[in-house]
Amino acid sequence: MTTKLQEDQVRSHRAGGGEEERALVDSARRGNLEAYDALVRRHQERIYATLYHMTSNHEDAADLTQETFVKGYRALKTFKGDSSFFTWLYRIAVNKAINLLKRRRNRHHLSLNDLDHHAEQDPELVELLSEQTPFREAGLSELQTRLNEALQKLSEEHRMVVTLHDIQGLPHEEIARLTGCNVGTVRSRLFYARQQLQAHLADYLK
Amino acid sequence: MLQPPDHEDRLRRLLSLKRYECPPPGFFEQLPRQIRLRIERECRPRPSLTAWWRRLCLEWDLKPALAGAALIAAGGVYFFTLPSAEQSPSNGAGPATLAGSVLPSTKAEVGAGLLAEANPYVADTNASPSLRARGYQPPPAGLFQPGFRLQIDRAAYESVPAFSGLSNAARVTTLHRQTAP
Repeated sequence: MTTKLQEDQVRSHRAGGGEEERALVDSARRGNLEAYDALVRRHQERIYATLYHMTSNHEDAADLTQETFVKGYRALKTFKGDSSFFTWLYRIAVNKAINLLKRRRNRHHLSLNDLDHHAEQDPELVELLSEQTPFREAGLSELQTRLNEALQKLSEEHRMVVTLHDIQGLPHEEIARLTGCNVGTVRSRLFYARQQLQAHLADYLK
Repeated sequence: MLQPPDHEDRLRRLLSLKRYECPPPGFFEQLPRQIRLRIERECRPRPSLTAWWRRLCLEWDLKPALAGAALIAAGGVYFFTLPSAEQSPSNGAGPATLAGSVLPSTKAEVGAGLLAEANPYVADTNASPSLRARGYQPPPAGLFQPGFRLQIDRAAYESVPAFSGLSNAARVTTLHRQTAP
């Protein structure tokens, strides 16, 4: 389901700027906070987005983003460069999110970010709202709430796959690297997660 | 319970709504600064003295013999230095001294010393030469014995140019004190 454009973006990110990123990582490893600052600015949005989509809570996502980067700085000496810095950091973020969600399984609440005003102009959403479905009566913010509630009903592993693939556009292979499982498992989790979401959002998808 | 897969496309479009959820304005401008502050606060090395003490405590925890040896050495130093410390005041050499310095004995001397530290120019012009701690020498032995003759030369003053608006300021330059038997 990932578009070719999204896969190209991910591939170009991984290939492009590799040397520059390696230099920044080496410099940060020697204690240069300016270099680490540059790495933070480079990756903060995607790390935050992943954590936000996993938790559906802005405060949790903000805290976890900070913790991820602080832990990343502390653990820089253990980064061997087998994977890209981003993949390594992503793994820290995902593990932190899963740990938090397991601790708070029974006391989770949504704290959703506002929708960007461009959402109303997205052709896919416009088309969705114009169809003869309950979407027409529901406002975008209500849809947002229902969608996040449905996502929170998924297990952490299934939510992560949906987040990384359907929302953030990472390819199966990259998700497999991040989660430490094989591509077949990623596909199977994705399939099952979508089925679950369709069941939870049945009223809106008829 | 599970829905047929023909709704997958709609679900995908619905999920695209998530991409428009944005954090509060300015969040990504503040975040790097907050992360940096946290790194500086949490990852900054401890002060060297604290680190040294912690390392020493850790060593002692790991090696009780080392802790015992340190304790015996400290005790030995204390017991060997204690008798000599008790004898020193009975020598009758005058006021107690610390590392060769002379302790002020009157309030005036204490005040003059503080004044000298605060403003050396005031101390140089106003304070009596005898109160200057650096030039002070202990009284000669037998000062109050009959027949003792103390020869005192006049203190030499030399005029210096006006400084900070003070005209005709005099600065004590030397103080010679000679004693005769």
